[in-house]
Amino acid sequence: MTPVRRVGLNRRGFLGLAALAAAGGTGVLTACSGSSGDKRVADRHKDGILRIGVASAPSSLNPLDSGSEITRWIAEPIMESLYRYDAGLASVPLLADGEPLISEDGLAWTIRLRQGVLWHNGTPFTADDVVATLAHMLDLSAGSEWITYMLGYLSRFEKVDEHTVRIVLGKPYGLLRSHLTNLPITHRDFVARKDTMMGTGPYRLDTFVAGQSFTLSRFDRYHGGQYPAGSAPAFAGMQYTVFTDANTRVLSLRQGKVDLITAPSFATFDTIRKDRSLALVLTEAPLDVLSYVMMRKEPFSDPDFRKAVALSMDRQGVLQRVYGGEGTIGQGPIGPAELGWDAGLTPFAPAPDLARARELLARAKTGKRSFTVTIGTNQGIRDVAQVLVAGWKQVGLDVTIEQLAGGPWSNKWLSRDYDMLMNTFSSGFTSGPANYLTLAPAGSTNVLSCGYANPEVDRLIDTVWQTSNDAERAAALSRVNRLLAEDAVITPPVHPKLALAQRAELSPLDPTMLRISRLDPQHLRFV
Amino acid sequence: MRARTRPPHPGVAGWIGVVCVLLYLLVATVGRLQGDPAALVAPGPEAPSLGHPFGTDHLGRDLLARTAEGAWTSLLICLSSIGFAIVVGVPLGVLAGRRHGGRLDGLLMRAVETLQALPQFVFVMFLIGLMGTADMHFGPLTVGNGARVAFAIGLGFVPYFARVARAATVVEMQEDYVANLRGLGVPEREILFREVLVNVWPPVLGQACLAMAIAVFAEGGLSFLGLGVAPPHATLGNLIADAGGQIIGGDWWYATLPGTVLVLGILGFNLLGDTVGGRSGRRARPAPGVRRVPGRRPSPSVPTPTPNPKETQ
Repeated sequence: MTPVRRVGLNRRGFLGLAALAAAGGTGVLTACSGSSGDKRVADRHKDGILRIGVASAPSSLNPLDSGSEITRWIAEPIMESLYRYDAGLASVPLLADGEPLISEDGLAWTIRLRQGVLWHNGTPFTADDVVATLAHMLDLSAGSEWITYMLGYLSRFEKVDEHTVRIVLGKPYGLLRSHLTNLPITHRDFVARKDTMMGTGPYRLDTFVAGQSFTLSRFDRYHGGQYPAGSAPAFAGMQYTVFTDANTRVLSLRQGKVDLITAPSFATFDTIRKDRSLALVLTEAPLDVLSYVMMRKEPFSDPDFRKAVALSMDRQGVLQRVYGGEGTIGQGPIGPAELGWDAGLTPFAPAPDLARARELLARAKTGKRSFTVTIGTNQGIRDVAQVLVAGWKQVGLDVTIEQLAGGPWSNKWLSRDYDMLMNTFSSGFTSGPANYLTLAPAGSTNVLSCGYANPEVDRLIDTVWQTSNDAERAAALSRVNRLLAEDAVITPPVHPKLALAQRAELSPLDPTMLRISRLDPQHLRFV
Repeated sequence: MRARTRPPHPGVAGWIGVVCVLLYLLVATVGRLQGDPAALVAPGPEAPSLGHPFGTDHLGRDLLARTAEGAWTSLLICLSSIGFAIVVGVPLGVLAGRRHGGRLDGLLMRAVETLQALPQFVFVMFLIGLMGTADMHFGPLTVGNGARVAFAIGLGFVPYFARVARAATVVEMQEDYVANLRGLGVPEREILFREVLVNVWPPVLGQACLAMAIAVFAEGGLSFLGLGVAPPHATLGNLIADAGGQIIGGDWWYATLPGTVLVLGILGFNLLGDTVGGRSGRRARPAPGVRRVPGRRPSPSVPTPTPNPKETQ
């Protein structure tokens, strides 16, 4: 009798083959990763498409919903504002036709709009679009992040004629010009849409695959087809591709699959520096590590406990281990790229002051020695929290890390049900070079108030929002920064630099625009 | 004369499984002596050395200590989840087997099949998605994500244990000794839980070893995806996930060493489960000369499932 031969794959065979395949696959991938991308880039650039690798995709495409760089980096070449930042970061007209006409009391702004501007769907840009954008922003049910910047100041707004709008304020609001320089104006029929972007910019959104890629093409009728000399968009189109893994982003850049990537991790810096076809871009920008403590309840209601926590932060450890030394030691909420930065403010040493922290803990009235730090889900903030927790452990603090995605994290912030909150935030898209937004929770009457009540801080924050005098605003910001640091209310461990990487075949990113978080891709060129 | 029983021989694969599991346990226990897994002991990633046999991670923490914590955490989660699955699944299976063909059997088996309709890993991710990853507070009691991961994996295993227990119970209930015990007037509950359950145990044990391998894999996968235990606590999955960002920098040890320990766990428990399962399967067949009660032979329609670990992933 012929023995029956089994030809099926049993479990052991499967495991063996899987191990071999994994080992072989790793070798193949390693070999492939070393190949040069120069020829690939030359061939690819023939189509005139700029390819950008980003770390994450926005859940909503409506730039009125969020000022986050995740949305705004894609919106940059598509959407425009009434005013824009020039090369010196001064606000100059864009969709507005000249400077606004402001009443003597400063409460009524009449803005003439540029004529001959077309939306990407071919309809003309009018005052109705500006009114619809402002109305959406102030609609409580719309959930726009911008509402917190305008509520209480904007009294009403109206269409004067087809190309004129009037904004009436309830009280002086010096930040209005800043907001109008950062707020993207959206087509009246698209203000509530979250699945597309309808703008007036030099590029329009053609297609996207949710969470994966966004394809833009040049809009040839941009502002009626009239470009100032030398400023015509160079690319036939742009493509944003999401690579959530930092290694994959860098490898795609090395292989010439993309021309520019955002957020390369510190671990990849050396690899990028060694490759002559790549350039690592590190710049001081309004990139904040948001750090708030809830002072309405124990243990952070106790000032000694609060200061002990701030003193035992391993700031140097965070800077070196998480950001490779690329940044500045944090003291107060305002960083070196932001208006009001005070380099002389040093209440906290780079290394943890454990002796002083223990002393403060010993005299603290609260008996609690534990708290929870609630962080976002990105790798950077997770590493920051882990380094800090190791430092706090040395003074006997038992700290739990709780990770929440964007929505639940924001809900926690709004509900004020937290001990300590931490996350990273690029404020440049909402406040340009003057970061007043991260100060909001320090105001005693703010909806995000962390329970801190200091009349001087309240008065200074009002000055920051109301004054039209930049020097006065800078002085107020600087003073608030000092008070919040010394009272250990908002004490971020570091102010990291903004990190990007690009191929040498692409013109250099504009350092001035990077200082307000902008990539400004519409002004780049292949070289 | 009583037949002399030879000690069971696990075979080559079985021995390899034993060695792998022992190595896994060795790292999980001896590595704990390396110190605090959260302490920053070096300025950054360092290659393996005498002081740090597994090197250090990207934040400068001892990787052996963290791998040991990860292996230990994985072990605890896996044992808890399998314990939960056995405690819930085996009684359900025994009850269903006792009422073989009845309404209770039908009801329990349909419920179990409903749970099995989703691939186990997808089912576990679905449960974690429902429960969230944030700590849950019930008065003074805080339930961390580790306990929820154990519960989710355990719940995913319940159908498999229930089906194995049911099949074994159906076979046992038709053995002579059950009829004899009934004849002697032994209460039904006592027969079921004192006599039958003992004989149901061997196939359940084999299933537990196989499930252990799947649980180590599932826990590692969930942690890799950020759905497992929160940092700074290490699990093998989150160590490998963190190591992914360092590969391009040449830190080969970071992914390789915890990855090897994870492979040892999965491979070891799998081979061990295969061996134990195979032996209990052989034992489950009636021995020559065993006489069954006339007219009460196992029906050909009785399903005797031996769940394949691959189909559960």
